[in-house]
Amino acid sequence: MKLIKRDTMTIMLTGFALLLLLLFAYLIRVEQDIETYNSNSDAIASLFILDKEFDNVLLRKFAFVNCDQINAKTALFKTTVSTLSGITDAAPFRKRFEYLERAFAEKTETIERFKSDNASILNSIHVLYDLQRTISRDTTLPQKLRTRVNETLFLLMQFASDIAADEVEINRHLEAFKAHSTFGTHPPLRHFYAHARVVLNNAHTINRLAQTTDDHRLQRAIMELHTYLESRYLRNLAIQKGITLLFFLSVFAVLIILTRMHLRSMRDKQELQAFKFAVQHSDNSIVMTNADRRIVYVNDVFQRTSGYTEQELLGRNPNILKSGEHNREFYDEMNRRLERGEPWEGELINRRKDGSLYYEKASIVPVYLEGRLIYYLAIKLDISKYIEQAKALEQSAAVFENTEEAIMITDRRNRITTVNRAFTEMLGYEEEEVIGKDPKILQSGRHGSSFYEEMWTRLAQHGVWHNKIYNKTKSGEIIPFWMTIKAIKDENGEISSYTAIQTDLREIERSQARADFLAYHDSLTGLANRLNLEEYLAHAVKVSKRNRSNLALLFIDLDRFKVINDSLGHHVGDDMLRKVAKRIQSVLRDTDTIARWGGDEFVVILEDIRKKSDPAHIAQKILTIIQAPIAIQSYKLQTTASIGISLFPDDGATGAEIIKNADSAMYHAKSLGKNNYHYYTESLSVESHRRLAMEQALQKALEHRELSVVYQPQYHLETRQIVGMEALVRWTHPELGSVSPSEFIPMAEDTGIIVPIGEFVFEEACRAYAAFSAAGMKLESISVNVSSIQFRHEQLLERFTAIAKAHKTPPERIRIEITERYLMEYSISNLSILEEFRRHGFKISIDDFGTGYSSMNYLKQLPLDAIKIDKSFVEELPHNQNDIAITKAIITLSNSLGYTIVAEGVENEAQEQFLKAQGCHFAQGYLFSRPQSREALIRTFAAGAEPPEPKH
Amino acid sequence: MIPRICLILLLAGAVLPAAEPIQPIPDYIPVNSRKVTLGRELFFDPILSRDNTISCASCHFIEMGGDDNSRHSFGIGGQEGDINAPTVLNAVFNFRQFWDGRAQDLAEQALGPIENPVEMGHRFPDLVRKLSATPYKAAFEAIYETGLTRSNIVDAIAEYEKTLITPNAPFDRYLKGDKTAITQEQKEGYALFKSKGCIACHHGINVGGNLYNKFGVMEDAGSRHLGRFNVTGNEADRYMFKVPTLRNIAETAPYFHDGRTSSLAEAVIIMARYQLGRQITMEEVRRIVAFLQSLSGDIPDTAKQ
Repeated sequence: MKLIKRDTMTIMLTGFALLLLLLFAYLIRVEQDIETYNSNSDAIASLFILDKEFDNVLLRKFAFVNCDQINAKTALFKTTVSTLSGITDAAPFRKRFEYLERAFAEKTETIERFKSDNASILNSIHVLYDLQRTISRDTTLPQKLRTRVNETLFLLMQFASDIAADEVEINRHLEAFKAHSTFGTHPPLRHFYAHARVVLNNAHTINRLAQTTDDHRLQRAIMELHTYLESRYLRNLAIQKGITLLFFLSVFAVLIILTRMHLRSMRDKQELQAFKFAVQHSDNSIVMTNADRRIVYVNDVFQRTSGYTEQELLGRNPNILKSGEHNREFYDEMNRRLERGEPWEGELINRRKDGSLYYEKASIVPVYLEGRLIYYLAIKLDISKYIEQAKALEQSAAVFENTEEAIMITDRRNRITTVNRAFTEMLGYEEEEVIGKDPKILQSGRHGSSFYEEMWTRLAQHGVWHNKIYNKTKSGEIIPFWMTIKAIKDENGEISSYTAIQTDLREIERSQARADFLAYHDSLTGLANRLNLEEYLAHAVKVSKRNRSNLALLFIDLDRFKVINDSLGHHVGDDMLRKVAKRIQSVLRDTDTIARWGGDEFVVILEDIRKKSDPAHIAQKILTIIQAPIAIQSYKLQTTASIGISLFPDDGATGAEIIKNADSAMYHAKSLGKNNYHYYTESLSVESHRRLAMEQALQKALEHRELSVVYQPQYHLETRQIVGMEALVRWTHPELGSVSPSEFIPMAEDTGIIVPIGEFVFEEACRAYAAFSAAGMKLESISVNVSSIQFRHEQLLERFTAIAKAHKTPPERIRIEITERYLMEYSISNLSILEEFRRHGFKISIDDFGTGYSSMNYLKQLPLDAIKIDKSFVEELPHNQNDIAITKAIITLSNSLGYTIVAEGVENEAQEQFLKAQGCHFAQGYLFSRPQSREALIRTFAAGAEPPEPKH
Repeated sequence: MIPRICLILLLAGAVLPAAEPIQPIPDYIPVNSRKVTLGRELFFDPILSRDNTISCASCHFIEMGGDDNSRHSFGIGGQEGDINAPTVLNAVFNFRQFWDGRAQDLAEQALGPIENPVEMGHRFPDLVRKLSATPYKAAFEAIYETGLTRSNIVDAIAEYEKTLITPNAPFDRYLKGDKTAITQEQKEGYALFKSKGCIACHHGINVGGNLYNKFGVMEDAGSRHLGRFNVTGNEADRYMFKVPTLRNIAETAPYFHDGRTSSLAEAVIIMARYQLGRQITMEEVRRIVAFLQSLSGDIPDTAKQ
C-alpha cells in the first residue's frame, strides 16, 4: 500500500515538474513574441518617421538638397521594410506588405523625380542670377528690356518660393523677350528665356509631385500594416493569456493535490513514528516474532535486559533465552494458549547472554491480520530488581538491628517512628517510650538555638547534616555523639522522613585529645615539638613574605650537655632541659616562639624584627641567662649554649632552609669556642659583635670622657679671614680606637644617647666660642650640628638657651646646623620649632644642601640664615658639569633669598677660585684648615701677642 | 526697384547649400575580410566568363581609374559593348548601379555583366556547375551556409567591391582641414564648380552618383541611348541617366555614357552647354578641370590583386 502511494506521488511530482517546464517554455515563447512585436512596432514607427521625412524632402523645393542624405533615408526605409517581410506568410499580411512595397516604390519614384527636377531648377536659378547680372550691365540693351529681366526674375523667384505669383505675367514677360529684336543675337537673353522656361516647367512638375504625396498612400500602407500587426498581436496575446492561465490553474491544482497527499503521508508517518518511539523507549522489553517464531523486532530495553544485540536476535527463536528453570509443562501450557489464539500472561525466569538469570512478567499476544496469524508480540517487564530489593530489605533490617550506631527515624513532622537496639541501649529509653516523641527529649542544653536552626537549614537545603552533638541519656548523662541526619525524600521530592545515626564519641575523643597533644608537643618540656615548629615556621615565613618583614631563627644547642646526661643520669639531664627551657622562655617576648627541636636543641623564631642586629641582642640575652648556675637535686650545675642565627628572607626562601642554615651557623659558633652566637651570614656576625661592643662602649663614652670636640674654620673667600667655626664631635675609644662620627652618630641616635652627647657638644662649642673671642678671634658664628632626635626632646631650646647663657655666648653667634633630609621628613612641626630657635636669636643653617629633595619653592618658606653646599658637589669642581650647574643654582638661589652660603670640603685652589667667582661667600675645608682642637686653632690663627686662653 | 533686388538676393541665399556639399571618402568601411578575399579572386578570374577569357578586371582596371579607358568595352568573342564602362571605384557609394540605375546595389549589378551575352555571356546554372569543380566550392562552403550559389557569388564580388574606395584625395584632405592640400587654382575651380551650378547634381560623398538627371536639359544632347526610359518606359525618363561620380574623373576618360570625348576640358564644356545652358570661358574651364583633378584618391592596397 505504501509502495503504491509513493508511486502516485512520484507520478504526480513528475507531472508537476513537466507542467512547470512546459509553462516555462511557453512563457519564453510568449516573451519572444512580445519582443518580436516590439521590434516590429519600432520598425513601423521608424517607417512612419521616414515617410514624414520623405514628405519634408519634397517640400524643400528650390533649395539645395544633399541627395546622399535622401538616399540614406530611402535605403534605411528599404532595409526596415525587409526586416518586416518575414513576419508571416498569411495572405492578409502579404497583401498589406505588398501594398506597402508598391507605395514605397511610388514614393521612391516621386523622390527621384524630385531630385532630378530640383537639381535642374537649382542650376537654372544659378544661371538666371548670373544672366540677370550680365544683362543688367549690358548697356547696349534698352533700359526697358533690362528692367523687364529684373522684373521677370523677381516674379520667378516669387513663383519658386510659392509666393502668389502671376504665371501669366511671367509668360507675358518671357514672350516679350522672345519677340524682342535682339533675342536672336543676344545669347544671354536667349539663355535667360530658356532657363526661365526650365524653372517654370520643372516648378509645375515639382508642385505636382508634392501634390501626389497629399494622398499619403505610403503612410496609409504603413498604418494598415501596423493595424494588422497590432490586432494580430492582441489576438495572440489574448490566446496566450488564456493558455497561460490554464497552465497556472493546472499547476495550482496539481500543487493542491500534492500538498494534500504530502500532509496525509506526514500524518501517517508521524503516527507511525510516535508508535515506534513508544515501543522503542518503552520501559517494557518488547519482542515481536513472525508466525514461525523468528524474531523480527526487539526494542532497546529487550536488548539491555537480555544482553543480546539486535543483530544477534533477529531471525532467532526466542527460546535462546530459556533458563531451564521452568519445566516442560510450563511451556506446553503457554504454547497451547497461544495456538488457540489467546494471549498468555505469567512470570518467566530467563537467562541473559552472560548466563545470569532474570525475572520477567510477560504478556504474549498472537497478532492476527485479516484472519491470519502474522506476529507474536511479547511485552515483558523485568522484575529482577524488585525481587532483589526484597532480599536486600531483609538484610538491611538485620543490619539496622545489630549495628553499634544508635539509629533513630522520624517522620516528616519530626516524630520518632523507629529506633534500633543500639539506641535503646545507649540512651536508656525503651522503644515505646520514644515512639511518637519529638527528639528534643535528647537535647543536652549544651547547644544554643542557633545550632539547631543551622541544622534544620542545612537539612532543608542539602538534605544531610552531620556534626558533633551532645545528647542526654534518660539518666541525664551527656554523651558526645557524631550525628548524621539525612532527609529522606519520596518520589515527589517531598521529605518523608529523617534518619539520624549517632556514634558515641567518648572513647574516640579521649584518645584523640591525647594524640593531638602528643603530636604537637614535646612531652618533656611541654614546648612545641619539632613538627609543630615546622608547621608554624612555614606559616610565619608566609606572613613575613606578605608583610615584607624580616624573620630570624635562633638555633640553640647546649654545650657539653651529653657529659651531664652521661655522668649524672638522664633524670638530671631531663630536669636541666626543663629548666633551661623555662629560662629561655623568660627572656622572650610573648610573640616569639620557642620549640624543642630534639635532644638538647631548641629553636626560637623571632618575627617582625626591625634590624638585623636585633636577633643578636636576644641571642646575647639567652646566652647570659643560660650561664647562670642551675640547682638540680643536690647539684649546682652550669652550662653554656651555642646559638646559630639565620634570617628570612636573606638566608633562605623556605622554613627548612632557614632552619638548616641556622643549624650550620650554630656549629660555626660552637667551633669558634662555644658560649657564643653566630649569624649564618659571616659579615653580620662580625658587624653585630662590633656594633654590640660599640653600643656598649658608647653608652659609657661620655662617662669615660672619651668624646672631644674639634673645630673647622670657615673663612671669607674674598678676605680669607676666619668668620666662623664648625664644631665637630670626635670619639676615641681605648680599644676601638678613633670611631668615625658617621658610624657612632647614627648609633647614638638609635639608642637615644645623642641627646646628652648633643648637649655636650653644644656646651663645648659655647665654651670654645668664648675662648676664641678671648683669643681675639672675631667670629661671626660657631656652628653646631643638631640631630633630629634632639629636636624631639621638648626642653631642647630651654637647655640650649641656658647653656649659652651660662657660657656668655650670645645665641646670635650660634648657628644650628640641621640636615636637609631632616627638614624634608619633619617639615611642618619643624618649621615652628626652628622659628622658636630663631626668635631666641639662634641662626639656622642647612647642612649638606643639595643632597635632599627640597624644592626650591619650599626653600623660600623656611626660616633659614645660611645654606651649606655639600662637599660632594664641591669635590669635582670645576670639572663636573653637573656639579657646576647644581652649585651655580644653589648659589644663585641662596643669594636671591639672602642666605649666607658656605661651601664645604674645599680642598684645592681651583675649587676655591670657582666658588669665589660664582659669588659663594664662605668656605671651609682642608685647603684652609683641617678640624683641630680649639687650642691648636688659637695657636695657629690668633694673633701671636694674644695671651693664652683661660682654662675653665 | 532696390527692395526687389534685395529680395532676389535673399531668395538666392536659400538655394545655396549651407554646409560643404561634398563629403570626404572614409578611409575604411567595415567588410567581411573572408568574403573580400574570395570576392577579389573572383573579380580577377576569367572563369566567370563562358569561354574563360573575360574577368571583371578586364573592363575595370583597378589601378587605372577602375574602368577600361575605352569608349566601349569588349566582351567574349571580341564582341563590342554599346556603352562606356563606368568606374568600379567608389561604386559602393552610388545610389544605383549602371548608367540607367537598373541595379539597386553592387550585388545586383554583378549579375549583369556575367549574364550579358556580349560581356561574359554566362548562365548562372552553368557557372555554378563550373565553379563546383574548382576549389571555389570549398571556399564558398567555408564562408556561406548555403555554399556556392548565384547570390553568394555576386555577394562575394560585391563585398570585395566595397573595398574599392579611394580615400585621401587632395580635395578630401582639403575638406578635412588641410588648406594647402589643393592649389589656389583648384580652390578657384571649386568655387566656380559651386557657383556655376555643377554642384546641384555633383555633390555628396561621390560628387555625383546619388540622383538621376536628364542628359541635355537645356538642349538636345544627341544621345543614342534613352537612359532610364529603357527601364521604366516612362516618357519623363527619356535621356534620364544616373549622374556619374566625378571621383577620379581625371583617370576615367573617355567620358559620358557614350564616351563621346576623352578631354576633361571638353567634357566640362559639354556639361556647361547641355546641362547648365550657360556660357563659360576657357579660363573658367581650366580652373574647374584643375579642381576635378584634385578628386583623384588612393586605391587601398587590400583592393589590389
